[in-house]
Amino acid sequence: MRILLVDDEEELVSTLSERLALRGIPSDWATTVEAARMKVKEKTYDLAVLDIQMPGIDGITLKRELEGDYPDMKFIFLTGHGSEEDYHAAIAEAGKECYLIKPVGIDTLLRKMREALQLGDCR
Amino acid sequence: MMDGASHSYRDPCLAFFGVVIAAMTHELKNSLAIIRENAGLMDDFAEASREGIPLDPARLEQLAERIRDHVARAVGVTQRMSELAHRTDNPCSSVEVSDLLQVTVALLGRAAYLRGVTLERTPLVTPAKIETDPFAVVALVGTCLGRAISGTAEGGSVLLAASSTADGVRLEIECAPAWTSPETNSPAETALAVSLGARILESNEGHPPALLLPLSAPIAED
Repeated sequence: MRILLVDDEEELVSTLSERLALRGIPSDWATTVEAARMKVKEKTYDLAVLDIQMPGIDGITLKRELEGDYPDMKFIFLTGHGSEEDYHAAIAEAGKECYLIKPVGIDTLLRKMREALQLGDCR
Repeated sequence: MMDGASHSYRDPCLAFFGVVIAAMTHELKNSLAIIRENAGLMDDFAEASREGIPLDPARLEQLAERIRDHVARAVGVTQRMSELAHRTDNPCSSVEVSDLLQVTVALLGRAAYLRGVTLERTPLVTPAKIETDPFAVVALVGTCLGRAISGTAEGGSVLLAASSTADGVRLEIECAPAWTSPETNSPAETALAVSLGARILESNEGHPPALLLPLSAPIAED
């Protein structure tokens, strides 16, 4: 699987990417929506992990944009926000199993990724 | 009966408190996530070294420094939370206006960042003290600043300018480019301003209304 990580915190996504690589999972990361858009034009990703609250557009809007062009891509929201509104909007978009609140253990994230890709969850 | 449509019953101080606490907890979660992942990466390197892959001391030092940096960032957030919380200790006290404005601008930093707007303030040329409810002033000014940030286009700037007058301290909020889609103050916010003896003044077109904070709020005279 190839993963795209999108979060405005560079030290989070770069470290997460490195940890995934040590586990044999290739990934790329982006800290802006524009960078994420460029990445998906260059490569095919099986799954994207998106922060919800970022400068510019929010993760839910980005998800809709990406799945419009890449309908087979799966999505997981990894957020620090945690409002009721965000929760309901995010699970409506991607499903309850695909909404994670920071900080999340890498084993949990990996399990969610594998479930999403094997079971077809996390639309 | 509660007015669900306009939420006029909602306490603006509590609403402001909720918004800034949510923003600060989000920031804390980001720092905690970064700390967790960097500590996890150190664990990964330790595991790799048991399998014969040499450790890179410089890399470990870099990760340790990152963890320290984000602990410091999280401490900064908790300090801002504490400063805000302690503004509620005394509903009537003599406070330096500059301190209140510094706290308020710091609290709105994340909102400005997410909007892509630069938030700054000009310091008072002459220090000014007022007798007031510090938390209520932070809530009122913060709510006005929040509205200014929301109404300023990405890439723009919001400037909080304070100046002393004979009647108190005048606060102007300048938006560049011009403020768009301005929401008006809710009845609860207007009531809060009245309670503080603050006057909402006509503004220049394209900027939010100015505020005049009195030297002594009515609550101080109770």
